[in-house]
Amino acid sequence: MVTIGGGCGSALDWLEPSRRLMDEGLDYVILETIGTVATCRAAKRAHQGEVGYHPYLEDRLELILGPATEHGTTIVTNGGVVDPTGAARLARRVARDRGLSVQVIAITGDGCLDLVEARADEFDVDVSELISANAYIGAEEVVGALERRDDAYDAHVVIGGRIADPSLVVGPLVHEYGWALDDWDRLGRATVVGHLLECSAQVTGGYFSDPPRKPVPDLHRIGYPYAEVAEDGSAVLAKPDDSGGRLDRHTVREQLFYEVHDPSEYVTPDVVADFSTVELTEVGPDRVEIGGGGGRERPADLKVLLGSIEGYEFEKFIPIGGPNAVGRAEVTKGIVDDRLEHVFDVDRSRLDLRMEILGVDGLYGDAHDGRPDYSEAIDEHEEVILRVAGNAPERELLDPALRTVSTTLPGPAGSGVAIPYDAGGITEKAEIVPIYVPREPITGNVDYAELTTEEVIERAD
Amino acid sequence: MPTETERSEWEPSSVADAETLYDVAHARAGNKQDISNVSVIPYDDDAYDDLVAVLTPERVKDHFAGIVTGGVERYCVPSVSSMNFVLHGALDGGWTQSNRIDRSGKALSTYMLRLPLDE
Repeated sequence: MVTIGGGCGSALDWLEPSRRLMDEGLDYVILETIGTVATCRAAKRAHQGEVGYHPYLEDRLELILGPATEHGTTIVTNGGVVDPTGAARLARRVARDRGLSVQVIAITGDGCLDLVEARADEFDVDVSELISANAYIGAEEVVGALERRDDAYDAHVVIGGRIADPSLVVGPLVHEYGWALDDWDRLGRATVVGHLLECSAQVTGGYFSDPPRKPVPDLHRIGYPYAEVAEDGSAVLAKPDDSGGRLDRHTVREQLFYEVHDPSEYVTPDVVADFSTVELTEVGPDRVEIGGGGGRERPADLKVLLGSIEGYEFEKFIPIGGPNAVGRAEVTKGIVDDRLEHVFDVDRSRLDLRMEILGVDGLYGDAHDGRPDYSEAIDEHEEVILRVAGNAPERELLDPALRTVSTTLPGPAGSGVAIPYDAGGITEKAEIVPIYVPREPITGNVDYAELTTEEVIERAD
Repeated sequence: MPTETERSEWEPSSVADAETLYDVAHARAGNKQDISNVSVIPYDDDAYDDLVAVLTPERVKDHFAGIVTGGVERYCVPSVSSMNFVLHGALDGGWTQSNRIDRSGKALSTYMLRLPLDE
């Protein structure tokens, strides 16, 4: 039996419950921290001389390295984002400062900007604006790091970059059970488990509550999930006793197809997993058995996310209250449109400007039946917020729109000050495009770095 | 917050008696590029076959008209009594391009549940 916990599901997740996972004495806790545009934004930060891992990483390590050494839990994370070596150095420094016996191993090599630039013609990409290219690497690379673990340490941390989310779980299982890397059914079943754990609290009642239909007890102290995985890849999903949240067939089924398209073909670097034969059985309070599932041969190519900074955007909010608030929000929309057209002479075809009346048509205004009957809305809504958001390839195109919105005077009666209240707010946009690249030149470049204490001291100073 | 009594009193409708999908099922949305997937899960497994009969890809496409600009695919998974809908062109260009306030389309799950069943 191998036990693995899902200790973090996003870069901003609350980490206190992952401490509780370590108190369960789990073999492994994974921390998944990379969202869609994270590598691009981190690369941008790194170019500006800041750290290439998430700024929260230090706080997280401070919180969990103690319990990890106490219970002998191995942490596996993609928290290095675009700088696994720097993240490993940080982890070693945190461990050293706290007097903890921790071995830290970095997995490098998923960053492949040089490769993409050198073979731009072959991949048919314009590399002029690229600032990052990161391949989804998998369980094989995690196993390579785990093989370097030294039993002399109380705990181990494996830190990589763009490791595929479920591979954070598949890697330890392949390592512990000695599964072959072409044992597709086991890898597929392990991928199901990894998929359910990688968003952490999303399987234990996070993002689920809608009482009275879907009550979730004690969300404020929600428990994070862990799996007890058997040698055949089947598992029981559970959460710590006396923690909040709920774990049952309903919560697991909501997470099962999260960000999945064809359930019989979930592609990862490790396997094409089949989720369409999964069976779920409630085997106790907050305990769900995951059976079935399987897989087919892994893809020849790896998915690579190309990141660039392209264009600009801004977002402003104007609160409007009192009788006829909706009607007056419409007046403001008209002012913005008229001023851009007749005063600033803006080329609207190059400016993607969007105005929504939050509380009325903010979320579903594009739907054919989403926009309410305005006569009804005028009567019903005495507090609305007009949201104005703009996208454009050049900053100059956004300036007039922003200035128009920033001055809500001479707007309609009862408008509040636009938020943010100054003329600021135009930000660069990150753009992410996936391409597919043969795995060999990337995996051949993967390496493992274990920093000595001396190096840590030297570089930290 | 509803009381425990209120919670325990709620029961899902049958598909035949329901006004909207919200009365019989729950849902979750995920995003990838300009594609949203929305899974639909009945509270009662016995309602699954009725839901499969009613919730055709065409009907879902019609429900999302205006929001979803591309095609709709449906995957049925009887082993977990769930359906997964893949909505192409659902996110106004996707996370990086979208001007919508809900740029990842999380609230498309609850929009799915507004789908009328009493027509």
